[in-house]
Amino acid sequence: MSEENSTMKQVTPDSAVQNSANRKYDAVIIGSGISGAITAKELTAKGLNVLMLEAAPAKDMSYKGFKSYLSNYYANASKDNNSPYPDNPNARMPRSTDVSKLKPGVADTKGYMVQNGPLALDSTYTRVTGGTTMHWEAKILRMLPDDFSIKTKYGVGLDWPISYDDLMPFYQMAEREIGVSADVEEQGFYGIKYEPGYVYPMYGLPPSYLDKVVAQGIDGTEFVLSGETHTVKVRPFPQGRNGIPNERYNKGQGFTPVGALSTYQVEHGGRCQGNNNCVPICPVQAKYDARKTLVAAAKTGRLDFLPQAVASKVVVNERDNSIQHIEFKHYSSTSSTEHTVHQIHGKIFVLATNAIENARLMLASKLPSSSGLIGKNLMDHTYLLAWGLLPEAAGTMRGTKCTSGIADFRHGEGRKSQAPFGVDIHNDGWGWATGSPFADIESLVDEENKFGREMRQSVVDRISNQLLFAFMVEQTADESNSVTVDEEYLDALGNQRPVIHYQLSDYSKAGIAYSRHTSKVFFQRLGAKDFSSYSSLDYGHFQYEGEDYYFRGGNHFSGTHIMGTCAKNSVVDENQKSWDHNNLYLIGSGSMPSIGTSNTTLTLAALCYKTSKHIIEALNQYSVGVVSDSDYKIAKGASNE
Amino acid sequence: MSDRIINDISDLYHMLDAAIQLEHATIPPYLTALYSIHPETNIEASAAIRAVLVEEMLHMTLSANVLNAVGKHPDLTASDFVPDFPTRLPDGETDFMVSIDKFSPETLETFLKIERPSKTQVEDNKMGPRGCIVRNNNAAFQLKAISPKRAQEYSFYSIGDFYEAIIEGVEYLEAQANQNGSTIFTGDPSLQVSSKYYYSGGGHVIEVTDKASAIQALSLIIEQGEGHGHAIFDSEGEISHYYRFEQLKLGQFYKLGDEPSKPSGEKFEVDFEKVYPIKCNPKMADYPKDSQIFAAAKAFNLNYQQFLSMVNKAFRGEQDLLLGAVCGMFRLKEHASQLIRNPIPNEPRSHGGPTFEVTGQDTTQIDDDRCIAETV
Repeated sequence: MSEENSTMKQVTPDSAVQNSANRKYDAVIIGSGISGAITAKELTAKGLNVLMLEAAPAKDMSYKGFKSYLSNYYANASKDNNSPYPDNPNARMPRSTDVSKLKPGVADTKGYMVQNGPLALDSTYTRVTGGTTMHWEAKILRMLPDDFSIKTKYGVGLDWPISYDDLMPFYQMAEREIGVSADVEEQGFYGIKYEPGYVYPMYGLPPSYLDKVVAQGIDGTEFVLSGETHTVKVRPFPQGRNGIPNERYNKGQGFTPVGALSTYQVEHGGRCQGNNNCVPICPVQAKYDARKTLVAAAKTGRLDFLPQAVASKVVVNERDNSIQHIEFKHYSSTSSTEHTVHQIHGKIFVLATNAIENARLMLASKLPSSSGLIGKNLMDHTYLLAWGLLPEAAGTMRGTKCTSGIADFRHGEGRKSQAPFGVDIHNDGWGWATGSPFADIESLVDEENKFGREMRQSVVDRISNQLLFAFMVEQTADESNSVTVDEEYLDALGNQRPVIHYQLSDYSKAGIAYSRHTSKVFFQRLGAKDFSSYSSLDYGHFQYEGEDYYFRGGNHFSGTHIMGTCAKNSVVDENQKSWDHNNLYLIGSGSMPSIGTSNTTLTLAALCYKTSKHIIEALNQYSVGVVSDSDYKIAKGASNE
Repeated sequence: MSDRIINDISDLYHMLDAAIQLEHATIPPYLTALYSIHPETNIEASAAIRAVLVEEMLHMTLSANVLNAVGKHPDLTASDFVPDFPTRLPDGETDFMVSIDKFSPETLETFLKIERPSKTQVEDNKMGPRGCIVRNNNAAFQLKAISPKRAQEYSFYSIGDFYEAIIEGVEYLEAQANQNGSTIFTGDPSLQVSSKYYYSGGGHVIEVTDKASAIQALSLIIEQGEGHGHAIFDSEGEISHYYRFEQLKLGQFYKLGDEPSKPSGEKFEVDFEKVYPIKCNPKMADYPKDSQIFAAAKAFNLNYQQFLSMVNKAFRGEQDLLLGAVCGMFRLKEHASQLIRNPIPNEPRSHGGPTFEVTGQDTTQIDDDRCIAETV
């Protein structure tokens, strides 16, 4: 890659303010994660001028900056999903290591997110340029068509104002941008459908040896739920990481993967190499992250990027309730809280921070809401982990984090009484549950006095047989689960921190309990010894029908500004436009009224394409000087070459 | 004597075989220098060596595609395929030895010599084959690519001259074949390594099926190595090997429009202290027979040989093997690291290093588990 492609033009706060006073910006986007990046790329490709504010520094846009993340990760004793990303008091982020068991009635304030309980939620997001796609796992599933109407079909949660069919063309666009590796023949199940002749940009990644071992043991196992038989079949996951391009993609035009960014004079990331630390960082950048989209947007010359600018207040024009400006605080160093406060104007404003931060900013701005739903209906996927030892070595630790799973409990009439779930087969052993392999080494040294060659062999013996199932259980909308703000809890810049109120419903707990039942059957069929245990001392512990369980957060924050059919029942419309403010868009997973059993990124990315299309049409009506449609197509095509 | 070096198809086979051997010969020195750098240090130096290294792999694959296109297969398992280091490569004016050694100012000088641009014409040498000179130590060159088969007393002036001779041969032989209504491109097209299996390796691989694609592939090798018309950057903004390495000497990146030796890009530091002190040109005989370092060196060589066998098979139609070759490369790095990060017994100031002593037999049948077990 030549140097020209390796940098992104940044603006100073003063020039951004000056430009905005001169009415340069058609859109002001807050946040450089996948939602903001896609919207910026779409709008700039259409000739619109965009200013993007990012709360974090942008040093990872250089190869050296990216390498420093890697060094942090290698050096850090904790390998949690934010371990590569340095602490920044001016734009803090939650870390799973901050979470501990809550005392009833006492808020836990040690992490960035204040945990108000009753249960502690250990989910995180990443406040760096590129957002949480820097640490995401890049498993990239479409939602099932049924997931869009769970209230109508199963009497639980909320319906979407749109259907799978409405979103289908936008799913395609998202799969192109992210560069998804999957085979259509293996993914069209339980109602998922594709346009005739559609293929994914790249072929599916190969399943791990562990996947094959598990499939051999459990494929064909039958479970009866609400009178329906669910037959288990291990299937590969679609992946947002580079594989072998499919020559049939785009009517035979093929696909060129986007490799590593900012790698001045270096070539990396064309394809996944099977490193096993996709979370928290792909060392070769074969995994998609939003910086890839940002750089493409920047190449248009119409994106002004302003890092170290934390949006602090959304200010409304009293006359028509439109957004007048957004106030932001700009800091010059992460080691000092010194900052300047500025105002930015634009034709439209797009909040693309994430479900927690979007709601936090709106609530901190003290804007009245017709529905009163901002911050409410907080959802996440709840995970139950089950871990065992296989009778023979299964090559654990090879391949990417997770290559296959089970989709056969995601659908069906059982959804009326218990939460559905997907199952992940983890290639990284017991890591998530026990801290393996580091925990294994500690116990070998401390408890078994192993050292040298014998210890190395023991590590191999212990880890190669490890099997971990992660059950991703749907959580439905519930207004009592929410994010709020409180003057009492401020960050270093004086911005209010998010306060989380979180509980699991019996519907969720029933799903978790059933998933535990299936894990016992799987272990038995595989001849694996079950090592799962759910201590009452664990911060995620709960009891259901007399049994102990725990849950882990899925980092899939959503629902805090749900979309719906009117201003009374929702915060945004089907285009993620605020019902209350006609030039404000709240985008991302916060808009989702239900999340099914799919990781949220693909669906929120598809929504952003729908929203971008709407914004472009809306701004066209203001007759701004946009380029013709054919130019747009050329620009879009070129950006993916 | 004819001025032309390639006069029949067997000359072309010989030259392309030699090309593959030559490209490969640069890999052990580059790989060793790269792995000798302390982890997480010298980011710019590591990136530069790595970039050149993967382009040499591309050049080897391109040469193999040309050879397959004209109907003969490469042989990476031939007994003399891997040179005995130190060895000599063609260069500009003075002969020099290429060693397996740590990254150091001296190694960097050698790398600059390997990649130094050709001066193309050797005016005072009109009697010999084009692009060749007489060296007083011709006998010391063990690589086939150094000397034209029919004029062993001569040697090529530079790697670029060597490839120019191949291009000339391809054009000559194809023109002759066309006169008889035939072609030299009789190879099985399914043997061409395609971008489906070759990626992230210094650019796009070119499938060779005719004269035009053959010349395109061979020209890419010349251009990436020497730069286009000796320019710092090529038309795609990619920097040539010589200037890539020179940046490390100068501690500064070149930018588009810069003059040679006057880079104006970002400055950086190269820290030659942050390098493991590998013994220069280590041999198995340097390691005590019962030491772990001996076992690791043996395991490395065995794996390297297996790796070459795998690539060899991939060049003969089993391209699927290239997917698994990625794991093979990780394994080689692991074995090399075991050597490089540990001192040699009784030689505390010298660390081990891979010896690249391979015998050339097909070892793909050797059980993987054995190699792994040896290193545990």
